[in-house]
Amino acid sequence: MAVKERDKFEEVKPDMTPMIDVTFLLLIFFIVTLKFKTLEGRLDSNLPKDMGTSPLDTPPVEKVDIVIRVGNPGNKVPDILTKTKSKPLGRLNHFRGRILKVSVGTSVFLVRTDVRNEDKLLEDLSKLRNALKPFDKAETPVTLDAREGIIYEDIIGLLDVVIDMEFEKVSFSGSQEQG
Amino acid sequence: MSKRGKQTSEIEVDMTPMIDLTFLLIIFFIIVNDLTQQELEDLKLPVAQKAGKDEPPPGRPILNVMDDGSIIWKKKILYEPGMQPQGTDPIRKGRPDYYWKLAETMRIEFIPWMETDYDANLKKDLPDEPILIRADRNTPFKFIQRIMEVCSREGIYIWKVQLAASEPEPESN
Repeated sequence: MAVKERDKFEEVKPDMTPMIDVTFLLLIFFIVTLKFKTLEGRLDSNLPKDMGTSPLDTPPVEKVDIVIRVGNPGNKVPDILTKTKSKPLGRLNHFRGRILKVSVGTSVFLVRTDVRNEDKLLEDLSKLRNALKPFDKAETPVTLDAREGIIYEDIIGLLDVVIDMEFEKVSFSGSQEQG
Repeated sequence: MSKRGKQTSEIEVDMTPMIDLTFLLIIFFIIVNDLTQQELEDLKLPVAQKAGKDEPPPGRPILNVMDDGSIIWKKKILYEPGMQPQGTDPIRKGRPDYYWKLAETMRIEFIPWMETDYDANLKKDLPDEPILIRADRNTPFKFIQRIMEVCSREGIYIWKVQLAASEPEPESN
């Protein structure tokens, strides 16, 4: 009698083990797939407000055209030597040995864009800086004219210099012929 | 005898706090995952010394451009090489329009949510908010020019464009 009474009121304990197993699996899944947001920078630019290519009915202003061509396209290599915070090594490719021909007015420079050879890059960019120095920073519009074969990185590198030199009016142009 | 029986009985660990904690962690990771993963594709940005710190305004559209030129917005492919054209390009007269999907998405998904500002010169309302172009460092620049062209199409007129770049790392040389 006494035994039966005690059995009746005994707590029912569900077996938690499978649930904990699953929960831990889920937890591990979310930890592994988590990518923390990496802080990225940005460069602002404005496009012309008009639609398409606009005819020039405004008085011509003295402007600087920076024409960029590819001198040597370089080779694409796996990115094993540059470190990034968020990406594992060796997964994405980048260009090595790329040389750009940059012309400002009549002067032409070669820019070796290899980031790992920073001395050469800075030396090349300082020539570009010297060529841009005489212009009025607030008034002169700068046009970056990228020709065929130019990649985003090249433009950002030069845009970086132009913004660093505090030119206020920066725009892009391109020929319509390229496919 | 009965006392001894109690002594050898199983020791049960109370699992409740651990499960509570685990669930909290799971919920945390689900939320964090959702916020960050949606819009940013796995690509490598170029480095710029002067890149301003990006404090993203809420709702700013992000266009990811991969190194083959494909454009991805919120995991949707808006352009990829080999896509079928539709109609003719309003800016490159007479050429087939490969960027119709991008233009359509901009008109339907971007513009209605943007604040506008009246431009006295052009006598119309122009969107006053930026979009971010987040391109891989190896992307040919012509693909970015195409996006800029689409921005200036009829009914879009987006003129504030931000280009994503990463800041230089102090330890690299």
